[in-house]
Amino acid sequence: MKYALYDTVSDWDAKNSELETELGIPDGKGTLHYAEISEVENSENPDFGKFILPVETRGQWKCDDQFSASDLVDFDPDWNPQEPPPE
Amino acid sequence: MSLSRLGLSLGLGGGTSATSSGAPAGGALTDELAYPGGLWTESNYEVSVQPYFHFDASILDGADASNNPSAGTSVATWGDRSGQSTDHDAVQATGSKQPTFEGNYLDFDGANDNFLINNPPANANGTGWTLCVVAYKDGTTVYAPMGKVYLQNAYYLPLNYSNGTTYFLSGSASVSTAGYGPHFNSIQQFVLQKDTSDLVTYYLQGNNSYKTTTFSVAFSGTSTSSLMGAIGHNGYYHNGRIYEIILWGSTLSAADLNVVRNYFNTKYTDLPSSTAF
Repeated sequence: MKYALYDTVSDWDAKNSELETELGIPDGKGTLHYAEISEVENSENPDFGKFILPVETRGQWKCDDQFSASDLVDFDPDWNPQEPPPE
Repeated sequence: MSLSRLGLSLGLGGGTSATSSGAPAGGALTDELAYPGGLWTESNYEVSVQPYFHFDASILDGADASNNPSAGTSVATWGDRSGQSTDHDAVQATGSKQPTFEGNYLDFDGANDNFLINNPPANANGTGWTLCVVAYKDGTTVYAPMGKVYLQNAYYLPLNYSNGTTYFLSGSASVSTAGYGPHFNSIQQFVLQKDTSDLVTYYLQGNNSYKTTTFSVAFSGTSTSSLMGAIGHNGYYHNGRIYEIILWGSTLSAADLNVVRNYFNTKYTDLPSSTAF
């Protein structure tokens, strides 16, 4: 999985809609959406406030070919730091 | 997927020729797990209690293995094969969150793949339950085949976390690794069982109990749903394979647990040897 970051919800929505058209979603077999929107919520992160689009790099919904490689990033656990597991 | 909704006869499934009683044509019994009301009611492996749900990746739609898609297909619905009249299918409508079908298991990517279970369990406090799982963890990543409730900042019913520690039941309760270990990159069979006195026991490869604790909790859903492929804590997803998950709304007897154990060992030949209950 790779990720693309967008400055606005409308930009995110536009790309998600483009991907759904390209991938044939909804497919009539239970798949209704390509992705769900999420936001970088860590104010200390340089990408704070951007909207995250997951980009499948394998399988049926593979769509990384719809992006420039330079626009894709790896997951950053600092986008939304998780609580550590209980000890 | 419920048989009533499909309008199928009992005994069909798995690509085998079977009678309506569940016995295969020709008289020989199958090696599929059988129980009252299920796809098979007679088999070499018969449990006395119908499970609440039963997900078997080798029968992806819960009805017939001949309907299985090709390997590499993303899975929107994993059909419950328990035969319960209520819909307990596992579903994921968002493509980027769907695991991939790979023949006899589903591959969860560890990034966001998960299912919600329709009409989640309604097991009440004071009753027992039994969860049986065959799964595989990729590398030193997260092992979390079954969560209790939807993503939130708490841990519910995970079997294992990435470092080998097993976390259990609620956001502040965890149990030790004693007798367990991380078991990376290997197929394993687990049983997690609670009895009516709230004694909870983790078993690995049959009757190897590696942790017991007391906790009064029902394996029940919430207004959202119960969850497969994540431990309930937002951001921690199962990374690896899930072959089969079965939940009973009661404490199975040792005899029934041994049926399930032997069924798993026969079906998944890469499983480590197991110990009788």
